[in-house]
Amino acid sequence: MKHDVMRRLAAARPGHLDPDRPVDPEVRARELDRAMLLTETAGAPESVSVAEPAPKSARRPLWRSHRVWGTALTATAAAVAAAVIVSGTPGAEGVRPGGTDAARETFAHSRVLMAAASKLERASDVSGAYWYQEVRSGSLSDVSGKDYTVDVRHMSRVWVAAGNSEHWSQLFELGARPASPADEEAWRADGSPKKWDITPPDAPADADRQIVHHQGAGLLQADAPGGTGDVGDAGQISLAELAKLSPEPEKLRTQLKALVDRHYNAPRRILDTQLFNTVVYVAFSSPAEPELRAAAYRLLATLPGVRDLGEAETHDGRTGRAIAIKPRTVVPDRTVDFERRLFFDPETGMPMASETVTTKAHDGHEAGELTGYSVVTEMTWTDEKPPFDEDFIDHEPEPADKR
Amino acid sequence: MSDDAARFTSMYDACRQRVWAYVVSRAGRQVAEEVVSETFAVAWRRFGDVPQPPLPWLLAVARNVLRDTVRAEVRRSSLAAELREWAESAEDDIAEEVADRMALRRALASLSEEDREVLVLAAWQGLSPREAARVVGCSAAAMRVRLHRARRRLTRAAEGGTAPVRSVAPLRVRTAGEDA
Repeated sequence: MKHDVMRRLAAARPGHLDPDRPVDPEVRARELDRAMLLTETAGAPESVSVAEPAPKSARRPLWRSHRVWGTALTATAAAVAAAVIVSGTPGAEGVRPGGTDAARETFAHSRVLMAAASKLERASDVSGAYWYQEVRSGSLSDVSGKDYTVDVRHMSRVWVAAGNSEHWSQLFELGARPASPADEEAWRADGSPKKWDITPPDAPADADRQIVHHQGAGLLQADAPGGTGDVGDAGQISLAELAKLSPEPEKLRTQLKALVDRHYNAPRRILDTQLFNTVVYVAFSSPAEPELRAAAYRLLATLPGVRDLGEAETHDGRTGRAIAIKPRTVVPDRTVDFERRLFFDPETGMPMASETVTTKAHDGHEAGELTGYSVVTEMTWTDEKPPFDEDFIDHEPEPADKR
Repeated sequence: MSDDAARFTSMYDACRQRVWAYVVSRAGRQVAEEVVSETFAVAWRRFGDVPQPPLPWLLAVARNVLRDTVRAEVRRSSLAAELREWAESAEDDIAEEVADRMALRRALASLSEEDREVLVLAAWQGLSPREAARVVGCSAAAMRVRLHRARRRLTRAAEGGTAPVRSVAPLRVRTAGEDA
């Protein structure tokens, strides 16, 4: 080998990806216009809801004299492009009812959430050196070419030191299992295989097959304070930020919107979905103090699309009080309509479980089918120390079908 | 032109083609322009917070925009066309270097999305592991590990010579804990 492979790779860059090639002047004018004058308005009628004003200069008629014509054209082109590219649900962009402000005024109050919030605030036992949370989750996938479903299972554990200063986490792969007794029967009839191909039927014929195994890989990642692990999801908030959140629902909404906007840097129309995810995170997964968690419940209760399910049974057979939320913003790739169900402990108001359920028959899925779940198995203050202090990342994905 | 607009325009001029090239390497040309355009619209809105150097931040935004707004099947077919071109197009290279470049491009096209992304960020965008980590949202140490392994697999694929161009895996990556 003559050179380091990275140098050879750098030299192999296709000519059209050369960063020094000039931008087509028309494209340049259009893109600068869209950024500075239109600022996403073409694709985002509801942007007013998350809007803080663009920098002052954006509102100055910088280019007005010679660009008005181009701007109008661009707006149309952008709207068309957005309609083509962005999720194919009717009215995804441009025609979506701009009812955000009206929706915010409606108090879609959920009694389940309000009751759970009050119970939280009566909680007394919030002492301990660490917040500890253990969640088992699974996603249900149909086995390719067979008529049964497997549950692909993971477990996550999180510790947070009191005062929100330090954070430990672990992620385990627990392996897949037939999803229900009926699936187990079908699996036995299939010869009880120990691995399954769950590649979706709509994947291209030559795409990588997605293989899951009965035997889980065990620990995938561990992240300890001061270490360098990369556990964590985009769009969520740091512990330091969590500590600064207001226990007053409307203030909390404003704060979370600002945080989501700062962290996520997404087009505005995406931010409402992220806001929803972040509120659910604070309510359901964060080490929030009871008052803050209660505020997140109350904020959730005002989000459009929340409805009470009342008493309901979780995937693992416990009885809780449940709500269903249908996220408003369309998520690309989601061909199945779905809703999120959150279960609360009837005694303590604490999170019990979360489930994702289809709401429309589609592609072999029936309406009301469970596609994924998380069960909170522990969520408590404890004096017990996290059992590790070093990072671990299992990052060597072998070709899936050769493991 | 106001100061903001002037600074924004020079940032655009310095970074636009890099952002475009990154998006093309992940999603092909068919969708790149729309993603780039939306990325700079976000950049203008958040201009006060754009760090120096702006490129890793811009690439991270482009990555989000791509993930959130482009449908998987559109991205898949657009990227497949791009990867085919990498594997097939011979440019006006000096003859003896052509073979090696073709082999490398073909090898790169045959790798997983994750490997290809970190290699492109390092070799074609010239980012340090720390900067590349900013783009994909992991730690610098994790990026070094990923880069090391991706480089190994690239070498293996390039030496194997005739790695077939694999089409893009479905974009439906399941994250543990995400019950959807």
